[in-house]
Amino acid sequence: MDTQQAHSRDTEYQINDRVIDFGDRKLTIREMLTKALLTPASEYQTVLVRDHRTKLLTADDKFDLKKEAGGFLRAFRSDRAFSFTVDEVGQVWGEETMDVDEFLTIWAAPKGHDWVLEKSDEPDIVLRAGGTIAFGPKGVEDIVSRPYPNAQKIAVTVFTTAGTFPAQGALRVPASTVIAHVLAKAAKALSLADTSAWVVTRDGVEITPSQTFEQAGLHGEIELEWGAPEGGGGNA
Amino acid sequence: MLKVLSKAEFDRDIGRLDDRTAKKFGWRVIASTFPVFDVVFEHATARPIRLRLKCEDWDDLPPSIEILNEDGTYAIEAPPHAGSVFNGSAHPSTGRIFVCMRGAREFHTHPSHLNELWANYRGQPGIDLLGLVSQLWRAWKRTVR
Repeated sequence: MDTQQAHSRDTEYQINDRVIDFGDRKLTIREMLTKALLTPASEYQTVLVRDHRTKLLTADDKFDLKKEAGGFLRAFRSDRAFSFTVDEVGQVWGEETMDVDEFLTIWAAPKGHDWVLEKSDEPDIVLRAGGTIAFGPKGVEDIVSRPYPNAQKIAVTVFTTAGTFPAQGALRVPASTVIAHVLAKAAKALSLADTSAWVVTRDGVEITPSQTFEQAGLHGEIELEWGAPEGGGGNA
Repeated sequence: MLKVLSKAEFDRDIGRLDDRTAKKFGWRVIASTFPVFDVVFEHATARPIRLRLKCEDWDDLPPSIEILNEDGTYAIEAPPHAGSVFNGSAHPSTGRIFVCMRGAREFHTHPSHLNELWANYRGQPGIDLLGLVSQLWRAWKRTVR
């Protein structure tokens, strides 16, 4: 999704990825959705995004395009909205998932900081471009900015052909963490039934999962590939 | 195998590939419409390799895997130092270099591997279409690092 497009006239406003001339400065959300061919309007969740804030609007809400200049609308064919916080400020989204790329266009991380999902009993998850945030029952509630970690912590992402762990970006763990522990979390999150024969590599180089990241010489941002080993060959 | 079932299995497997994963592996997808998955393995400095998986009857049968140049012409040489997975000799059936790895149709139909039945591997964790492609990527990656 592109960031907000420039719209020069008072009667123009952006909905999703389109800038539309509504021919009027004051309309209801229903009128705007209809003009944008997002019908029936009652089946949409409409969110105003402006000044790093989000606000859920109803189809009957009146909307002043000039007053809301600088923002844009996101409309989702959805029957419910999802609440979360960004640095303790309440926000809302119109569907269960959100691309991290879009999140970052609305909320750029403060300089020297990452956006992080913190859970009391789990390692932090750092948002990364390409990831997906889920707001469902077991999903995200609070996203906070945290300074970049020191050298004692690494950010790791595990790629499999069944999915990526964590889906939102990277897991932030101490460098003293055993690699296999992260793989076990990935297996659980991705519902991988039997990975006993799988190999883990970094950029194609095999890694020993019983080692810690530190012992394996892995620091900083780490992307691991994990999957079944190639087999056969050699005699043909 | 019924075409509709094979297509469903193909779509399920290929549907798991998202942009983030493709970017991470450096995969550029040329085609992903049943029964063909055509992908280029890209590299910052080395010559890319292109693989075309022809997946008729997947997963009753493993995919036939063609080794191509980036422009889609048949490769005539295996990647250098590629080990045994990319076999530079002519396959008896196709006359072309071939993928010699369980999960490739050319492996299971090669006279040297007729006793290694696909049924022994089919459905195992990681032996789906993208799993096979990632294994070939890893084998190729070792040669171009």
